[in-house]
Amino acid sequence: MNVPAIEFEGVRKSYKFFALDGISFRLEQGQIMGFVGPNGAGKTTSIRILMALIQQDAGEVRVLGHAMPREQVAAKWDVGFVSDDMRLFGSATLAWHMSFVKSIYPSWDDDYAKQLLKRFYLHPEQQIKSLSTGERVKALLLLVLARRPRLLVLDEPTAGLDPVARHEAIAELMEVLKDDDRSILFSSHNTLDVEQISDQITFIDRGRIVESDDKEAFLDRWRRLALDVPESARLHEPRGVTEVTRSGHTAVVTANAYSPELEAIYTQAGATVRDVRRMTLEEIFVATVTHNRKERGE
Amino acid sequence: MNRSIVRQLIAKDLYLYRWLIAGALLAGLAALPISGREGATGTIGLILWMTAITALGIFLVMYGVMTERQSKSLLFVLSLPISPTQYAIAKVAASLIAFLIPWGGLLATIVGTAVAFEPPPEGHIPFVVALMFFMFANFAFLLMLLLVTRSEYWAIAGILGTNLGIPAYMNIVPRLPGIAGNSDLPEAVWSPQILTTIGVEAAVVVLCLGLALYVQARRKDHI
Repeated sequence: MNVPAIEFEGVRKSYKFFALDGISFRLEQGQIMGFVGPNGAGKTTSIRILMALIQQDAGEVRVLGHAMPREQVAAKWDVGFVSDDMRLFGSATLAWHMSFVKSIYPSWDDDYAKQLLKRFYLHPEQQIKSLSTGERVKALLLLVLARRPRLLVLDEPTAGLDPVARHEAIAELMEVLKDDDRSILFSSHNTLDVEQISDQITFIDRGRIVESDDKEAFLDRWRRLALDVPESARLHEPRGVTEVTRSGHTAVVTANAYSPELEAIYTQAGATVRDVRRMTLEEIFVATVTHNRKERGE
Repeated sequence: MNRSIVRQLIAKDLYLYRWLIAGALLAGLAALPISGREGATGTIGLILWMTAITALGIFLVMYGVMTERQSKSLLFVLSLPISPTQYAIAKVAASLIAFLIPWGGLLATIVGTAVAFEPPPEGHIPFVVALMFFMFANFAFLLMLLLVTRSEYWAIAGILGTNLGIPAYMNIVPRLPGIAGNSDLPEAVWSPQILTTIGVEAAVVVLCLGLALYVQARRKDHI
């Protein structure tokens, strides 16, 4: 039986002004998970615990079956990690970095590295300090992809990129990943990137996991209904509705468990359903976080 | 396999420090003939070769430890299949090698030149050895301070403190009983006092490096 690529169980980590509050989630092998949260939600802290860069105060973390941080050396052989703030050695060339990584990982694939160089338009003799931000991200991706890790952990890899470079990096990443059966944890606050690349989504906010589901299920069950409402009609929030906002004779209902019965409920209440539309991942993300904060009284 | 990664990390650091090592060695070697002269020229030469060693130590800890942390290339290194303790071992070993190559080269040149010289001006050799060990201890202290505190402020305080310590050392140690006057003798005198001084300096080196590794092994957060 395949062990999960990542398992978090009741993981806690406390700082003076922030705490990861017993988070649990699981990424199966071969899956791509978008790990989405606003700035300061706990994405980077979770990923640093995952990579054994910091140690959790409580809870269990397993990466490819290895308990972290105890078995980090065994786990890290099969994990490729790229983060927004990771840097290479500025005075050395990309070729030197490639040779350094190759000297460590027997799984390094020279042919694949050459393909990636071409695909990413990178020049091996170029010094790292002369690379643009986009090229630096691509260089980091090349260094992890060419050793063919079983699990890729990408912590906001596109955060500092301009829209064109971000589009290129995501497009290249999707192209590269098409042929492979890798597990990926992709953290970002950019839902557009996540929507393109992921097949599972986990939302994190203020140190807590607020939702975790299959991407299609997310997109399927969330809907926004536009209603015409007579003044006398009273709109309540049945199960599956996260928010009702009313302005004069119109109302907008946001539902996280949409079913056609919902339309019937509002019709019976005297409203006319003018429009039902699917929501973008960004709208779902904002609605989830807002609803969750309201429920917790924050 | 992991021992080989530690070796690769040491090789990585030595590659990155290569110009620093060569520069310190060349600057120190260039200053040595000047320091052998009489009067102010000799003093300038002495200051130059001590600066070469001191600056090497400062650059190694600031560039190798502090910059690696601040520029976040440490994230890249710690993503490799090593434990943080192995990282610290590799960092300490690479820094030591990078420091000891010019340090050892200069010490050997000074001693070798003095021994080869006729008539032999060997009386100053024990004090020079003690002074070199003092600078080695300063370097080990700075390395420990940065690995333990990870603080730029502590680093600056440490650099100021160790730099102020050198003139103080040069004023105090040559006047100690059992050491005073020996530098003018034609033969090296390895008195118990000079041997104790060197022994204490060597113990400081061992203690500092041991403390750096101990703290790193017990640390929970590495970024």
